[in-house]
Amino acid sequence: MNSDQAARLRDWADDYVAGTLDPAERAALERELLTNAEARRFFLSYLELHAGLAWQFRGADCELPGLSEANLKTNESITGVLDFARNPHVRNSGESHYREANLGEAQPTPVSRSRRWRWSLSSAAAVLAVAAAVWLWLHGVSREPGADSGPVFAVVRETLPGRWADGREVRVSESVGKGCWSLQSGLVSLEGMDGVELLVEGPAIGQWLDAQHLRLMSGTVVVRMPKGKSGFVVETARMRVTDLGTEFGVSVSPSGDERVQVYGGRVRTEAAASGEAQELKAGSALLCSPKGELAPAAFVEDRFIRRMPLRQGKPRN
Amino acid sequence: MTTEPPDDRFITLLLANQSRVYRFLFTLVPRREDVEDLFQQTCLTLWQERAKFDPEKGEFASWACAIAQNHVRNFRRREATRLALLSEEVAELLVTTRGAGGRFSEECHRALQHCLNRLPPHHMALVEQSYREGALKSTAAAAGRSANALYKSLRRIRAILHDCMVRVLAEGNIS
Repeated sequence: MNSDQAARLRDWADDYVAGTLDPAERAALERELLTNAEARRFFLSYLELHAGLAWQFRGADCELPGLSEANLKTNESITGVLDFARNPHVRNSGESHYREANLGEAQPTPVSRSRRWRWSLSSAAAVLAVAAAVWLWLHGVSREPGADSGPVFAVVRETLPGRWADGREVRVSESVGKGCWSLQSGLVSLEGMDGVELLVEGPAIGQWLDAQHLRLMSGTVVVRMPKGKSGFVVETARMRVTDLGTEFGVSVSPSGDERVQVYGGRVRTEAAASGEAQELKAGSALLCSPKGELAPAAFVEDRFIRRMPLRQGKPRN
Repeated sequence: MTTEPPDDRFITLLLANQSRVYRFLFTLVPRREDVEDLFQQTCLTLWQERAKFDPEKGEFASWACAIAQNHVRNFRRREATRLALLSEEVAELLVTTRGAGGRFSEECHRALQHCLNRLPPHHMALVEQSYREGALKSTAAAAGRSANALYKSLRRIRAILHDCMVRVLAEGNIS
């Protein structure tokens, strides 16, 4: 595909996204997509760009319409919440959280259609939100990291551009305390107790259990201990990784694969199911399948982001 | 180490995969309002049908995207006369090209993050305002510019980001 073809295809893609593609252009686009695999990938990558931006900046997806933090504090309320999650039509949850996104000159949505959906979808959103909230609450969540008055386990050193799942931007110097956090996007550098450095790549969900103990439910984190320090633990659903003075990365993929890769020093890994323990040294990697089976994996240097990238010509880390 | 009850595991999977489902919907439906509607319908179905998910039979993302695609098929039938969607044949081909495992999508996602990190702050601010605020007109009014001028800027920045993504994808060093 030459540059003219690429430019034309991108114009069509942009008009398609904006809703301004005319029928003749749409027919031409369809012909191109049906016959040219390279054009399909190019077009798809543009849709991924648009989708990625929409996701990145869409804000909270676990809002709790009509449900405050306060009524998550008692078992009685939890029962009610669970009942509501099972039967969303018992009460209405308020307005849908979707936002108008009139990028370009998209055709207006008929009001009746939008309103028809608004009621049922607000319940749908609430079901997921409630389910997620209950789950987070049961796991000791602090919906805003560091918002409670408990001990601080880490402080944000840098963010590029990180965003929590509740839509807030991650701020430098923000403290992160005990409980769950969900990083929707971006790259965040945290400094924990004893000088441990963690680089978290969004999307990621984790939970601080104590100052030396992080549970990673999904996503990617790289841990770097200062010289002379050790003992930091990253726990996943099927594995426990204990640093023995080192730098290592741990990832939990959406499909459930868990991976540890050691960049420096050593780590000890322990499988939850079998109790099998292994010590890994620098330059090695291990994969834990969704069934809990441990197996050596290829060490791929750039599998994890280990440093904040350069920005504006200045080193970030 | 954690031993998660089934619903816990399901919600973990749901939270971990929701951006994949959301992005998948954009493959088939261009308008953001429609994607938001379909995303929420899909989430509800996933939750209601959670007992039917069998991790032995395949990845959660594939199962979730298949459910999302069913919602899109219904949506196409309902809205066929109103919307300028691509033909079903093209849509199916795009889904196939994207790949059941969503590897291409994940590579694009990582490439986008890489490219966003290199975007000048004023471009980043405009993109964020446009997508966050949603309505381009209000963003333009706040910036003292016409909606048309702002849209042209946004389009130009998306082209810069897309060029960067295509280059990063071609280099193929996104793990």
